[in-house]
Amino acid sequence: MGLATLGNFAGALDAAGPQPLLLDCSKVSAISGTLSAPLGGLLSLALHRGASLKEIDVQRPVHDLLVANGFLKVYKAGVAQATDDYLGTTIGYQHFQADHYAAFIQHYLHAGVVEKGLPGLAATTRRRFEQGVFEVLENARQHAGSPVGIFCCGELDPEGQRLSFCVADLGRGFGGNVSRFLGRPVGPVEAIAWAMQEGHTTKRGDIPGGLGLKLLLEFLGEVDGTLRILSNAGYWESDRGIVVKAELAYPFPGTVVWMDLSTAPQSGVERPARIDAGAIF
Amino acid sequence: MEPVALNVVELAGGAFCVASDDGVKVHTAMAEHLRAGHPVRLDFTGVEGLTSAFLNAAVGQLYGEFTPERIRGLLTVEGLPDADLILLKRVVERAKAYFADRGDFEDAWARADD
Repeated sequence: MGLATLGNFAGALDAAGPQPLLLDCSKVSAISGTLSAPLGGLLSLALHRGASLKEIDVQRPVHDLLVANGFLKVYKAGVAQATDDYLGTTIGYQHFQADHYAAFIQHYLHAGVVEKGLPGLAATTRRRFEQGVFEVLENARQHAGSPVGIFCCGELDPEGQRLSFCVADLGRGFGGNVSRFLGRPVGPVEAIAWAMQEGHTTKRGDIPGGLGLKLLLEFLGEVDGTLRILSNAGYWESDRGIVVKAELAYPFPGTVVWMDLSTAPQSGVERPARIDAGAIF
Repeated sequence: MEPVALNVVELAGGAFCVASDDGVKVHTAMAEHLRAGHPVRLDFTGVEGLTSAFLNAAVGQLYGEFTPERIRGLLTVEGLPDADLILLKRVVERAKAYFADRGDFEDAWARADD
């Protein structure tokens, strides 16, 4: 199961409507823990619209993974708490309302993601990763209007020395915001491409914008990283500078921002340029 | 004239300066002094998280009201590590472009299409 299939799942949940759901995941033999973020978002949206979760049938090892990261504690009856992360690969599943930054940042992102996932990286690199996540969260808070909040999860690959981390919202998506801003219909793929350009923002008024996603993309480029964005039916990916765009058959009802980066200690180019504080303005 | 010291953590209400709304609080305090011609020293000591969204609201929007020369003459910053100084510099550059070409931004996509 990957990002491109989320739209199919969203469509199935939507078609089922407000009724008790039995999710048969028994044939899912492997899953990225990071996908827990958009999956949790979709389930929360279904519950918000009146559905109920009767049962989730999920088998090992997927079951163990989703217990360890705390996902099933939220969505499956009888799972009381997350288990020990005996493989050392788990980044916890987290759901929070958009305005509740403080608790999220203090207790989850800093300790649960950066300290655990990026221990060998330079302080500047770790700070820039946090900056990038903050930018995505602030974009979601300002622009998405997600009725069920924001969802995060990640996963470590200790052997490959990679961290993946994902932020998902169930809001308007890039297409609606960009179309409204430009005053004409803009396709879902073009909307993401437009938003990825420095200086492009859908905000109006006296506060400039249009920098956050560009900064995140630049950072990921320096740490052998990949940025994937799924918004409605639009898919945009930059993998080590190579951009891939696609329009998907089934839209995701919101936005997923997926970051993947190297956790190798040498990763993260310490920017050599020093800025004179007196020359900023 | 001795600069007025403004502490960002106090004004924003916490060490994680990420939300645009919190940046507006800093901007409001800072702009009041700048309008009066008071030099301001903006102290970021203790800030543990920073975004362009916060800095756009706090500092970037100053360029919609004051000239770069006036801001340069009255505003200084301290307490920012290099990574955050670089971020602030990018925000300032973006703000100057934003207010210089404000009318042009909405046509940017149309130009890119050509």
